[in-house]
Amino acid sequence: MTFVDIQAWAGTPGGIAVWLTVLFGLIFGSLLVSIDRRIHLGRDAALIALLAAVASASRVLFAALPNVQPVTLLLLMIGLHLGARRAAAVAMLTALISNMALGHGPWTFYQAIAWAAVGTSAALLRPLLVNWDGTKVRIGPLALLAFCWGFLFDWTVSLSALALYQSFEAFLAFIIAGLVFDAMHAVGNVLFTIWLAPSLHHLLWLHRRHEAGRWIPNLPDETLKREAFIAETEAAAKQLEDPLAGIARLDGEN
Amino acid sequence: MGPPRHFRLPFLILVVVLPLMLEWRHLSAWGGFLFLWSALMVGHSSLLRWLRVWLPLSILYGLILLLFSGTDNWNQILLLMARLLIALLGMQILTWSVPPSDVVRAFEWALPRLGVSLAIALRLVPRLERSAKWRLETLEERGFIDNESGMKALRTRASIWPGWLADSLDHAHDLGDAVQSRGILAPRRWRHGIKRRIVQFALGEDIREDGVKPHHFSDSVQLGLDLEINLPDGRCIGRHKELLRGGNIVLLRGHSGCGKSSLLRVIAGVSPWQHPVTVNGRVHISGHPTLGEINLAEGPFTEAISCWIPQDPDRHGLAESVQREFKIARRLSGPWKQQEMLECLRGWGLLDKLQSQPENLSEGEQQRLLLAAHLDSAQPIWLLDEADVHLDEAGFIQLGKAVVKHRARGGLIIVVAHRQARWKRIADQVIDIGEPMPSQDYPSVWIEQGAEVGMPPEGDLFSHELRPVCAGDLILIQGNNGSGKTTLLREWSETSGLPWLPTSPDRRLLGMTIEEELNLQHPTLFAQFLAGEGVNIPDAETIQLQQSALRLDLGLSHLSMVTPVHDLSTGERRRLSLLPLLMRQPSIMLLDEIDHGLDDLTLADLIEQLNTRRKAGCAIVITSHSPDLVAWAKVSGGRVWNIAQGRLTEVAS
Repeated sequence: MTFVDIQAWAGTPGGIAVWLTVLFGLIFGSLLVSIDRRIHLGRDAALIALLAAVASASRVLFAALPNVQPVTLLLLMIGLHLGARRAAAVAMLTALISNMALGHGPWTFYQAIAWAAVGTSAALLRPLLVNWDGTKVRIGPLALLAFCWGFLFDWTVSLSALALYQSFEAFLAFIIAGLVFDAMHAVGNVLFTIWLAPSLHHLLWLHRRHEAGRWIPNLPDETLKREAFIAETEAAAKQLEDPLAGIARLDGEN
Repeated sequence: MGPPRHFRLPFLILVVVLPLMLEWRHLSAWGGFLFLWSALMVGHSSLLRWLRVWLPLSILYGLILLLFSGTDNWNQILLLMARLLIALLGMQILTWSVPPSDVVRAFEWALPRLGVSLAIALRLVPRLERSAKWRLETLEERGFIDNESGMKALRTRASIWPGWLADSLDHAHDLGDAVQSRGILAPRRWRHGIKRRIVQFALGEDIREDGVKPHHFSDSVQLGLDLEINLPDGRCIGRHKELLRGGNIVLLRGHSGCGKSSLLRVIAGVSPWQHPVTVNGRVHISGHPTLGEINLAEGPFTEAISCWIPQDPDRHGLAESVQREFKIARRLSGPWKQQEMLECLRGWGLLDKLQSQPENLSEGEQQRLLLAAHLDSAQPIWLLDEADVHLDEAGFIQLGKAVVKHRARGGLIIVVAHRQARWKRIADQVIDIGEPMPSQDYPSVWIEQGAEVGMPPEGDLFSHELRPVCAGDLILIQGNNGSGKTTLLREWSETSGLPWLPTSPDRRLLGMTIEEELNLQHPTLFAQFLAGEGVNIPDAETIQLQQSALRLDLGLSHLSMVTPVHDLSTGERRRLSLLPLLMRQPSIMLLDEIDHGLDDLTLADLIEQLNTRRKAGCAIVITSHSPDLVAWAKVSGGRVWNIAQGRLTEVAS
């Protein structure tokens, strides 16, 4: 097999399916490794775990409603508050955990990467999605972004169908047949944004406030001055003469 | 059944790629083989459930393909659909044959930190479900939902969502702190060479990853504290200037919310800001056997620097079984043998719980497990945060033995305890945070028994020949860990429709902030909150006044309404969770380990409240391991019940 043959094969649906899956698999793997190296604190790991657990549980909970689930909104909020890296970690774990219940397949890679992209987009567009001091979320722009991701996410995941069907016609049919479901996902995202985004924002904002605790190696000046004053006073009190000195006792014990 | 553990990757490639290349004859043979295999492996019902999802979908896509490409190629399309279905079945077999714990182990091996996240996530998923269940149960107990229409009930249910998520986030923080304090994210140091590891791998043995050698330390360990802990508003909640030496047991005392637990967290090297606090100053450990000198201000650290046993054991266990919790703990602390684990579990009375899930253990048993697994003799400093609260007498003796042995080894043990009489006997040093607490007598009153108000449940789980419970009765239930005290209260509550307060206050707190929680404590208050200030709901003002008076009595009136519930101390949360129970004025109040997290002064105030209820004709049933409370119950003319092997007996007073 020559290079030209490989080139020709790579342009066929089967070839595209293979290199696309390999490419997405490699991106998935490298993301996993890079995220693993960047988790330093137990609290980081636990936060990622909790958010992944919530996202997975809600995905499984809403499995009865076709393509309506709050994971996309959760990932948007996580990207918005905790950054793209943590959002990507949550996306990977959510895909892994929720598919343990719903079924694994090549789509797992695509879902994980698409959700990581959802989180990254929210992290990049943060100035547009929150007010000036970050205390309030702007529901309108967030709902619009969630609506767009309803379609973009589904089309990204649909790429996995190319690997299974190995035919452009079938893939096109798959995309067209799925348009109704994509629209349901998008509308569901908007509804979830209106319902959940304010409380999620408040919660994650509280979390960030907690993380803002600090350790300052020096004691406050006020404390040092107060303690120095107390120490001086105590020392001075010790140096004072005995107020009873010089008074002779009449019973003659001395 | 299923493919061997180490050969799944080739199988995955095989099951996906092979069907895509096969023609009809071979495809049907391969498909038949996979169907037979899966039917044997998971049974017909699971296979049918899988087919019910995927067969209609495959047919639907086949029809779409026929629509687009015409009916001429029907044979090819049918082949394509069959290949797709069989490839999917192959992947499903792989999913069935790989239990989640194997996935976690694979992750822990290759990507340890994400593996920890995955393990925590898998542990959190069922906990999230249970937490949602507790909240719905609490809503019903408070009289919500029953009288509400569908839409209104949905709205009420939706209102507990932020509190549920906030509690889950708090639990995740607890687990994260447990991971960090135990050094689970520390880079692994291989104890065995590559050859040994290959042999172990080939023989299928557990690969031992313990990186630290057993330690022998003298009493040279020292802990120097010179720090101040401040709240965001600048209020100081603790100024500590001490030099603590190895070979000592130090008892730390102070009222609820004075910063005892925060100090232990700082010394444990985990993030001190469970609540948004600022730490000023330094903490220095010298003479640590592996790390030598440690300046804690340079943290956080990935390695374990002390052995920290936090409050609330159900929020700090990591593994899905007793055995695995033990394995994780011991792998971190140094070489160990299976026999050692069995002996330790026998010592703590947990040998018969080896395969149990921690969720199925009682609070006392979970506390025993935490102590058995994580009391690490390799760490010179032990930090015990109310470690004795859920323990029965035998458990406390076991803990006391371990503590005294560690002191003899040269270890430094810092104990935080509210019921401190037993600890004072063995403590070498007592440190009071804030003003020293005066010794407090619990107020006792003698109340004449009134009319009969109920009986404990009888059935498969419990039997008894007890006198009925009468108005004004005080009943204290005693029993060993795991004897069924909490189960009795739960059963009693379910059969008689009585409210009960579990040990963990978080099970009865619904709101994210104090304001939300107070509004959710009564349906009328919630209706008033929804209606807004312009509308007056009948009785809302009276109930609000009653609630404010109780808040004052329980010492909760100073709290700001916007304070998140999980920023409160355990004692404050417990009192907050007690409010709706006191507001309802039931005929019998069922309280599980009421003294947990409360200092003597607060407990005395609470007992005063309970005495007032008793005078008004309410019977109080409490469980406790505290000798002080047992004495109080006897002095107050209370009845003491003992529970053992499902049989309730009255102890003669």
